[in-house]
Amino acid sequence: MNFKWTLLAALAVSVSTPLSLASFAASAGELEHPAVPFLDASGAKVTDSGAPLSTMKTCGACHDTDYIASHSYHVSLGSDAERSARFDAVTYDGGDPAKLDAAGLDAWIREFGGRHVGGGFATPTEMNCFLCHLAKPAVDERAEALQSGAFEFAPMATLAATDLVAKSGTSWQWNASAFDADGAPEPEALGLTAPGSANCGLCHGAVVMDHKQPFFLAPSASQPETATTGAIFSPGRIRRSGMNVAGKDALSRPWDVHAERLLECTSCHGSTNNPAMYNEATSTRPGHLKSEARRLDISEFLRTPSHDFEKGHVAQAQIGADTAGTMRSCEDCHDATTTHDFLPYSARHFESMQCEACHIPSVNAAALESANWTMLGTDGEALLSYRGVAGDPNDPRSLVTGYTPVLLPRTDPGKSAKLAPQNLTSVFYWFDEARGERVPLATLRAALLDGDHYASAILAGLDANKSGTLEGEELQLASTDAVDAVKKALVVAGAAQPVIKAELKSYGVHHGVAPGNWAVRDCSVCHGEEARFSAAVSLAPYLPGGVRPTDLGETNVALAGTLEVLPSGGLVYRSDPSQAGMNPLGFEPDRLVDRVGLWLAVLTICGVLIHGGTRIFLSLNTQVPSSPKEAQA
Amino acid sequence: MKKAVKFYSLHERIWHWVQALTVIVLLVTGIEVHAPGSVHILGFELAVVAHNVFAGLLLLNALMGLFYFLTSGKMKQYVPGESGFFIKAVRQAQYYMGGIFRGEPHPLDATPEARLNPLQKITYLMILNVLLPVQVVTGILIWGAERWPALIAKVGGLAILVPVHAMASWLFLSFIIMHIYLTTTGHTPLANLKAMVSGYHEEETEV
Repeated sequence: MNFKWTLLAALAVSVSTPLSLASFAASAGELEHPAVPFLDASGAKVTDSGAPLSTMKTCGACHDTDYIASHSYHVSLGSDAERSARFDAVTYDGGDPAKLDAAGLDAWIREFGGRHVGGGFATPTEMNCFLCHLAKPAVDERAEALQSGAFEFAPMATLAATDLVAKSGTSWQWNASAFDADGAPEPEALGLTAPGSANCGLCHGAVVMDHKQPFFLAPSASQPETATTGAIFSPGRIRRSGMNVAGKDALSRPWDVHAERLLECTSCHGSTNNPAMYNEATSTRPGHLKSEARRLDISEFLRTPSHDFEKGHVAQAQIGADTAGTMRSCEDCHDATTTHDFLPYSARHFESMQCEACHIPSVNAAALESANWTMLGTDGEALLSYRGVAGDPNDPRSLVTGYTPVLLPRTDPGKSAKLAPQNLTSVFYWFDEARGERVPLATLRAALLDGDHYASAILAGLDANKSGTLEGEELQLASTDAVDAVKKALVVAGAAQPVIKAELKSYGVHHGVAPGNWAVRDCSVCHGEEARFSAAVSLAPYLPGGVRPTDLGETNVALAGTLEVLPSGGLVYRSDPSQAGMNPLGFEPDRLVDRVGLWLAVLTICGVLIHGGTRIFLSLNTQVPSSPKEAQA
Repeated sequence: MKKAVKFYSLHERIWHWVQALTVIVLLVTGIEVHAPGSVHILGFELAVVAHNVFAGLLLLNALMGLFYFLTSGKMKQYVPGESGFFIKAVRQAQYYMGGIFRGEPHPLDATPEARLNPLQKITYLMILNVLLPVQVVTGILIWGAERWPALIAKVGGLAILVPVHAMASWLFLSFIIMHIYLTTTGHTPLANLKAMVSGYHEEETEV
């Protein structure tokens, strides 16, 4: 082949490869789905009845929606035991809503239903297939419908971005002209898709799949993964984003290398019975079995796709324990032994650390530091503090300094502990000792707020500067009088025996993975007195009521270090990996051996100096020779 | 009149100086590995490599020395317990604490066949039979943490091995300080050092 043809071939490859990749990315979510007659709860066409749509009936015509709804932790929120243990530090959602009475469940759906897929215990609602199977589900309109109590209209509200529905007051109506004679909309008008990362991002965290979009993201309770870890799943380069990240000009890396390489959330968190993707995790697969050949037929899968998605063993997981660990780990896709020749003691490093410990060297976004639910803002939400940002994280002008995740030992079933990157946080709240539960959010709001102002009883007890509102230290419950004032208001609002409690919560940092050339390669990052372990990690700027959290509770992540209350009143954590049996050479926070050894050496030198000095002094000032030879001479 | 008496064979001198070199390099690189933030000489990675290489050299030299001293019969010089050993040890200690300041002669005359005084014998017994083996074994286990994790776990893991290795290193440092100082207590301050270089001790003889 001559030079001209070589050049043309190279040009063709260089042009076609990105195009084909882009084409793949664009087509990943497209779905050739047949037209679907929309049915109501009675099975009648909605175009005939005008009634709200039933996803269970409509999708259930071809898919086993009962099976799907009963095989989805997004519906069930886990087992009873898991639900009882739930406590979301950002939203205050927790406990087992299935145990609520009708009125309580109604209130729960209004408050938190926007973050629940529907169905299951939330009987007034159905599992909403559109949330994940539409490219642009109208989650805000859906949440609005749920908040207003119009639960039956929630699926219709989710279609607000299509021409199929129109809002009428608090209800929704069908646009009959968009449906054919069978009561089915044009497939293109409905726009069903395979679930894309953006769908997951609607509830879980920030997902920006357009690599050219210069986005700005503020931490939000509606995106807890981002709020609690700072993770942003995007193929875009950090330096091209709209985020005011410190030193961003040098940050040419993508926010997440897996997003850059065209992976979707479902690439790792897919259906557990998807025959195309199924590859049992090494954690549960028999050691001798490289691959499980027995799989569902594709038609069987389409009828009964399990919606218990593959997931890891993250510390913050509150549901889905049955499927924890089913997700393929880094090692299931990557063979680290072929790419880490540069790493001394590679086996030792692999044994002691999770891949993310080095491959998420830092998080270039703000993340939760503490959540204080002992007092509320005038918006009725917690007082949150964030790390990784200088100033208000909601202000685009605030400098995002980012943070280095703390490395804590994480133990997965059947495995030894490994250091894993975590965002360690603290949460403070009122607990009703008499009832054995957290003080309900409604009680808390009733006690502290009067509309969008603080209640007069609270102002009387806490407004030290008589400004008519509360700010700064007035919200910190730093004195016994302040604590008593709030406690009294809580009792009036219905709490029986409120006390302040504090917990530590650790959030695993597993997204925002950097490309290999951005991973930690400098030994001194972990080996040395100034290693990342040595930095004190702030867990709270102050301790409401002086109450300090002590441990992480029952989770697969453990503390390996000490908690200290600073003179300023803040709480910090100092790592000591040796408490977990890990001793990174060069980093020893307690150098008792060195202190003893140094004293021994110093005493030896002193002894030598005194002994030798005396010999020299005597030889110079007396007739005593400095050596036996002179004495003998 | 001065008379040169051969004390150290070429083999012994090479063994000694190789041992000295490796121990000093191991101490320096060990400190850098131990406290890389405070000591910057080779850099952490190179310090680790150098430490491992010189540890292997020290071990090899120690084994060769052991072979030499066993086969040459000179090992018996290191074995304490001859008659009057305790009395001699006390006399030697008294000399270091008093006699040396008054210019008194050494209480025990060293000969090529009996070079070590009782205090030296006790010291070398501890160094060669306790401290060096501890250092070698803990060093090999730390190095082998990569290869034999189960074995390392059985002996307490790095949480035990590293502090023990570090403490033994401090003891070695103290020994070296003391060792170098005591070389100045010969007939002249540099007599012992010269002897370990040339192999010969100069002794005064009567004409």
